[in-house]
Amino acid sequence: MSLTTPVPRDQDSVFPGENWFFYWKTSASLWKSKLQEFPGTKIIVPLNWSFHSETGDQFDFDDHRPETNLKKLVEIAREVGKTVVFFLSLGPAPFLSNGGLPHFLARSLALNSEEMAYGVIDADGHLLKIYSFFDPRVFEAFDKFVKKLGQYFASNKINSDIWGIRSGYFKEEKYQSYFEDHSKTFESAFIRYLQTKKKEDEKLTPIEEKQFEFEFLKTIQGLYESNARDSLKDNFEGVLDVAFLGGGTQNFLKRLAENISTSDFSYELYVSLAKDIVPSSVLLSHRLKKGVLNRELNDLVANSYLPARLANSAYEHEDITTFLPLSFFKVYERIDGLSSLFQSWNDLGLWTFLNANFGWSYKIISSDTLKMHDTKTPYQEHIHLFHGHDIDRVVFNFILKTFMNGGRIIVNRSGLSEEFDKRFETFFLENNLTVEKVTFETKVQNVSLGEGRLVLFDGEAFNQESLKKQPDDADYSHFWKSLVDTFTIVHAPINNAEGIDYYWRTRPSSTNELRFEEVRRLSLYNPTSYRKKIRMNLSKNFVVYKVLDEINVIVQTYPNEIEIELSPDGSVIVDFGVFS
Amino acid sequence: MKEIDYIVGIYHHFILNPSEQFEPNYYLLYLLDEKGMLEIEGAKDLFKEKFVLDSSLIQKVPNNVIGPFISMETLNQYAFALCEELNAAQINLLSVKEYNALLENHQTAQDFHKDLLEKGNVIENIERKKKGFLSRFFK
Repeated sequence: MSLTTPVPRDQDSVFPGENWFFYWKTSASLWKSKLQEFPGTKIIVPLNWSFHSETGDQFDFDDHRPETNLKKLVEIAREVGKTVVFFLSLGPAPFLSNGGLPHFLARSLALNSEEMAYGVIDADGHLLKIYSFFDPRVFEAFDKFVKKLGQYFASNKINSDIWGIRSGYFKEEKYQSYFEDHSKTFESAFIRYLQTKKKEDEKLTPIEEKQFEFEFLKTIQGLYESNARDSLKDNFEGVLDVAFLGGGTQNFLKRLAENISTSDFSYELYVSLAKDIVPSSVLLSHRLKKGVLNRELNDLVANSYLPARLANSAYEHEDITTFLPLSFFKVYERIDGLSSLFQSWNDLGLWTFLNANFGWSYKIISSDTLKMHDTKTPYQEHIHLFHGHDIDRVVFNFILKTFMNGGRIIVNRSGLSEEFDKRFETFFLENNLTVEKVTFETKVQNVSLGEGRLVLFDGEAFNQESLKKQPDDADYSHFWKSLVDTFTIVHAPINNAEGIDYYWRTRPSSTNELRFEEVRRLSLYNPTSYRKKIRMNLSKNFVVYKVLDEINVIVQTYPNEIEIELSPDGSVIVDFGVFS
Repeated sequence: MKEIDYIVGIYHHFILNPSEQFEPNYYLLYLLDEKGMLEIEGAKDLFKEKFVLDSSLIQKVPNNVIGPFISMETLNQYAFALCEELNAAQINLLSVKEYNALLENHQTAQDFHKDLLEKGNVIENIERKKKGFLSRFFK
């Protein structure tokens, strides 16, 4: 017997998660009562293109159905003290039928990189499919829709923010866009594009073709984005990548058999936060999210990460009372369609090492999010990691600027071009920098300048001779541990954390907390059906400050130690005061 | 060991590394049974033990994929061996094209799942049938 109040099914459909509101799933006459019940202040309203246009030529914004009256929705929200933020899909929307396309435009199934059609199960158990956005008719119809939407917002003086969203999912730890398509529709559009790019008799290598394919995908995606930006003018705030938990083929097949555990989703949630991609659980029913996953989504996304991302297009959030993700490492990974051909951080066992020693306290940066990390966060010192094959002019300048400002950089030389290899050498010579060389598992170079450090290592030349075998995760972990130990990182490691989900966040201290420099928040969740006990040895820099939201947990503090026993479904938040 | 009735294998015929290979091969992308996904490690071990002709070919195959199989016949043989190994009643092999057609024609997840388990190239484990119903009680 459950002692918790069951959530009504209608409420599940209308509020599917993280403050999203599906306005088309309920009567406009009920909007006010529903929004009044809603706990948050910021409501995410995804725009449903096919709900406003069945034909693609004619549009309904309160002309026929009251549920299409977005002006009224914004006014009602304001009346009950809430703000509406609109999300506009700039490609397939996996939570809508036909990926959001009006029915008559859904002609050719979009295919993923395995050439399998995208199948999605929504929170109500409906089977949804995604259709190609590379059909020129879809693009023309989208253009008409956003123009009409822009006119509607302008003529009705609706000043709510509209964010363009690019939807995706996780395939293992890799984020994949639903925009990616290998259907015949895509192929024929791509062939036309290639004809404009290459000479008549020119034969492309598979790598060149892959590069062009990625460039074409980005170009078309960019066209959808620029049309929306131009049509929506001042309302258009920017673009967000959104990862739909449970939206990949693997999880789709698991969900078909109704044999899926919350850990399948929580892993995607944490990878998503590490990659600065907004996680969304709107495809999951409240039944699937019951227990700790629901708490994780509320604590880490709905009440923390999402408001911070929407408050400002810049990553840094100015409100000092808000906890932001704690990260010690910023790991750069270029996304260009070719990265899988080169040595990856996974090949070097980096993720295993970081997860085991620092939990999810790292950020994975791509060319899309590099700008967000351009400025130095005042109370978080990072170690930046780059692959040689990802270094171009922009990244090279970023490395030198960060290093000269006292930053800490690690570069894997694998794939470093001759040009940038020479540029590094020239930089060292011109600035009269001493390069210390050491061989530890592989060739390592260390350069220091004031507080700045630059370490270069040869990822391709790990010493297989001394190991007498192919290096494995344990060998790489040994390398990473020795390397990272040469940097100073103020951190409280957690022992026996297997099976536990945990996440660190941080904020600067407020005026009444001046004895600390920083407050770190540790959220712990036990998704297993076993009792789990963890122990943390606290260095002199850490004191337990507050224990919050204790559910099925026993917390005991000792001098320089804290012990936490979590029952199944248990969770707790512990705040630590940190000083130097 | 849990009793399995149906195994479904979704396969594709493609060139894994176009810069190094010219001939397409067959690869198993997903393996599932009526209760969910099959554990890939066991299925991969069976492939490595009995179906690998050239070990250099499998080095670049992603962890979640089984192959290469040089012909449909070899894939069928592997499917049958897997079926026997897991003592399943039958295995259905579906190409990604068949999978896509099935998905396009279904409106509910339940119906799609039902057909996924039954449609495709069905290979029956006759030995298990012979053992029959009573064998479950006399192990």
